[in-house]
Amino acid sequence: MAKWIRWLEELCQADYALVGKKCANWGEMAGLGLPVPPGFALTVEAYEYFFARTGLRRKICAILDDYAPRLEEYRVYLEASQAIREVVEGEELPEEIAAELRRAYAALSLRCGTVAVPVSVRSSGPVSRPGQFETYLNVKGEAMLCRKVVHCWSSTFTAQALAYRRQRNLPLAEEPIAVGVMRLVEARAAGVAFTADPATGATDRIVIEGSWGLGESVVGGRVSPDRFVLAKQDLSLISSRHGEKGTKVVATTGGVEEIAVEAAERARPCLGLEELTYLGRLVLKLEEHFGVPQDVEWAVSATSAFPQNIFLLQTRPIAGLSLGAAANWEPRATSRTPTDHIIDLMLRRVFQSS
Amino acid sequence: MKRHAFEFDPEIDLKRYQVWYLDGSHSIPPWTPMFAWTWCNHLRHAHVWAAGRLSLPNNRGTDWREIDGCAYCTPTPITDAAEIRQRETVFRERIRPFLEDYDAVWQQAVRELHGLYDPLKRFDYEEATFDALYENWEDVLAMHRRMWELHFYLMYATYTIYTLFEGLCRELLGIDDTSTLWHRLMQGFDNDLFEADRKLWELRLLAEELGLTEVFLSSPADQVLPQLRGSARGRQWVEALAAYLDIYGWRMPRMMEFNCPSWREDPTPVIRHIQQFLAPGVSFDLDRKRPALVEDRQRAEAEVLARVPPEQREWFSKLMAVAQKAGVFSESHDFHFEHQAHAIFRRALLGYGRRLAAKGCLAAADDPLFLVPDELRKALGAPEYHDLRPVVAARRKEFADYSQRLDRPTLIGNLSLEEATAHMVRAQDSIMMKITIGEFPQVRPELAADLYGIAGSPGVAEGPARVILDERDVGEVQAGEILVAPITYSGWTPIFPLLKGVVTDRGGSLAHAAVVGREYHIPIVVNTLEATKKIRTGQRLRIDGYQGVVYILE
Repeated sequence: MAKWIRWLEELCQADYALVGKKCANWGEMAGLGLPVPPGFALTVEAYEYFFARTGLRRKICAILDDYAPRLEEYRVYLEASQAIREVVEGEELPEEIAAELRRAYAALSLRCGTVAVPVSVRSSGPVSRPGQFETYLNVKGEAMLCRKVVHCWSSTFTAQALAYRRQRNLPLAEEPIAVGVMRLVEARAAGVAFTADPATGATDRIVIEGSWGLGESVVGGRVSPDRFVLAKQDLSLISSRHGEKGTKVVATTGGVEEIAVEAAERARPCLGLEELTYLGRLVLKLEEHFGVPQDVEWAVSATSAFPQNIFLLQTRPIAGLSLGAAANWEPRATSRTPTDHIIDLMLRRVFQSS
Repeated sequence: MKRHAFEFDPEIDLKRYQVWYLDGSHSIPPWTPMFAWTWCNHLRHAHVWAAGRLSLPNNRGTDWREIDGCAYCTPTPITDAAEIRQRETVFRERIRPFLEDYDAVWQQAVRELHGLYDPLKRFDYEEATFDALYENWEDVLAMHRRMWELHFYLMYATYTIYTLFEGLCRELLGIDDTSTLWHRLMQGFDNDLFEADRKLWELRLLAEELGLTEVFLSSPADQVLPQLRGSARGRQWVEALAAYLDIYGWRMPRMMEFNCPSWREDPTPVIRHIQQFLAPGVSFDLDRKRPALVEDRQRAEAEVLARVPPEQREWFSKLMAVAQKAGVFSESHDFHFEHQAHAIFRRALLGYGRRLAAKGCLAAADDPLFLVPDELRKALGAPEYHDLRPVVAARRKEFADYSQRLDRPTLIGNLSLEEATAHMVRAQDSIMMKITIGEFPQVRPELAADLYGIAGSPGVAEGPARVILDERDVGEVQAGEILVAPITYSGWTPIFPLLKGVVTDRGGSLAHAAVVGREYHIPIVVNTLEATKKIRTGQRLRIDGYQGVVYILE
């Protein structure tokens, strides 16, 4: 049995300490029968082994000792980050891990009917740190995959991550994360879906934002996306606003590239009504299952037909939503009294059934 | 040869079960045969019965086995979706009374139990005929079995509600049952065991009032009573003690065993507590601290409720109020359930022992502790036709050997500690998580601590360690010390006013030490797994009840 690899099918929500929240939820979604791209996770232990085995941990501590007295200005964080990332990225992946990674990658490629399947390489921490670590899209070939895994680990030393840990008195010298390796969805359009309005906390609606190309442009806030609001009750379209969608991120031979979107394409909404409703139904299943409003990343494949073209990439509770908003999920028909409501919650959350 | 059918058999018990967890909370040090039997039979039965009675959708209760006086358990989750759905429908109705009127369910159970206890407490073991003794043994077994049934019926329901509330708070407020805000929500509640301690403190005040302080402080605990009987004022105190013991003396220093005398049998532990209370610098400030704790709890409740929109507050406050009863339940039930039932059980065993010894069927009053119920049935049914002395002698020899082996494996099976934790989390058995096994601690190297545990009650304290491995040594605790123990039992509450903090090897956030520590407002760290191995009496410790870690300072 592989020591550092866990296939998606082996994972569920409870595995977050081993493979991080993103990958654990990815496995949970797969277990629910939702459409997710195939792949595997490299465990948190691989990170720990890498930094211990290569002697990087000691080197990083030495660098941090140098910078520690001056870690006030952000500029100094940037310098410290650069110094650390240089040594980290100068290291090769230890052969023990690389061998497992190559084996898993070959198996994934085979499953996808090719020899070198393009994947996304995603950071996945046991504690959610949205946007702190890096994700690499369209990684192809085992050599590049090995490099990107190291880069992903190295991204736990961005200036932002260092400053965050410093502020919260967390250990600076490491933040073990897992890495998800997921078949890339060559997306025609991608974006995020919220099962409550993240701005107002209203839980009677689903908010979907999307743009052309890979999800990077919406998640990274590079474009003004299309915004669709659906009623949770019957998934009818309440409103739709068309964003400018000036650029899109697309896969190229050596990675990804941001290109301009043609005028005619800009004006068109990136999702059709049929796709919106289908997506709405999928994300509601997630909310129902996890019991709290979800923030879901989705993609629509350019290479397959509806409904096989719709994929869910990750899910997590909506950050910063007030308790009230989050707890106010749709009471069921049986929830007539407060007691019924509590019993419903108990069945859905404590026993995680129905 | 096997004593009963629930002795662990690797051939059978590891075929379909993956892992067994040591119940270090209760069965270290290992039990006598009679107690181990009651655990694997009555308590195990009660898990299954209660899970069925409540129709817990995905849980058949917990299965238990004995290995040389130690209990091992494993969850029995239900995986068949159709069965789960069927059980859910019934569960809806069975859990309802707990949410609608928790106190009524509680009171009904307590009334039923006292109805079973009262005649047994009055039963005269010296004068009864053997026919009556034989019948009495069936009544004692039935009482004990019923005690555990009601116990787990209430406990599963209570902890399921607690777990839901905890889950909502974790996900939505970012706090869990190891956070300070959580502990603030759970503090400031009275319970029936505290009432016993309060009355004990009144005995201490009475001793002072009667001018008896000197008598208590100048003699060893076991010689205080004879001295008191020598004076009129002393006799007045002894009478007050007798009245106290009548109500509160149905308890033993070790709650989960039959081999320690109850306070009624031997009040020396009570005398020792009075001596501890009379030492300079000790005050019983539970009631002085309570109003501040209540006020702080109300602030915490308001803080939490402010984040709930007005139209959702009704069900949320209702859920919170019932969840808050979990701590009170944890302590109060000990008083009404285990303490009394086990003290009554012990009294019966000793009664049979004396009578059977007189018939030459046994050698000593406590011989029945080394038998199992069927053997006692044989003896009481026809004492003149049985000689169980060789059986008891052999069992005593075995016990003398295995009871010294305290270093039992935490897990049996093929899973690592991490995998076993995940397995338990998936099984969603709230009792295993919160009490018997507890969540396993995570090592957090950044804290550079000597021991990592689970935060049970917030605060930081420094002081000398007092390692107590045997409940009979509780009397050694001095004011200002930090208690280090495998686990604390509810019989130990009287020493809490003396302590600066507590560290335990096992237990979760609803374990005794955590619940009581919150009320005494002292830091508690539970489930460190190895505190009693790493710490020696007298070493200075710093314990951090916010982070759940312990530092050995010297």
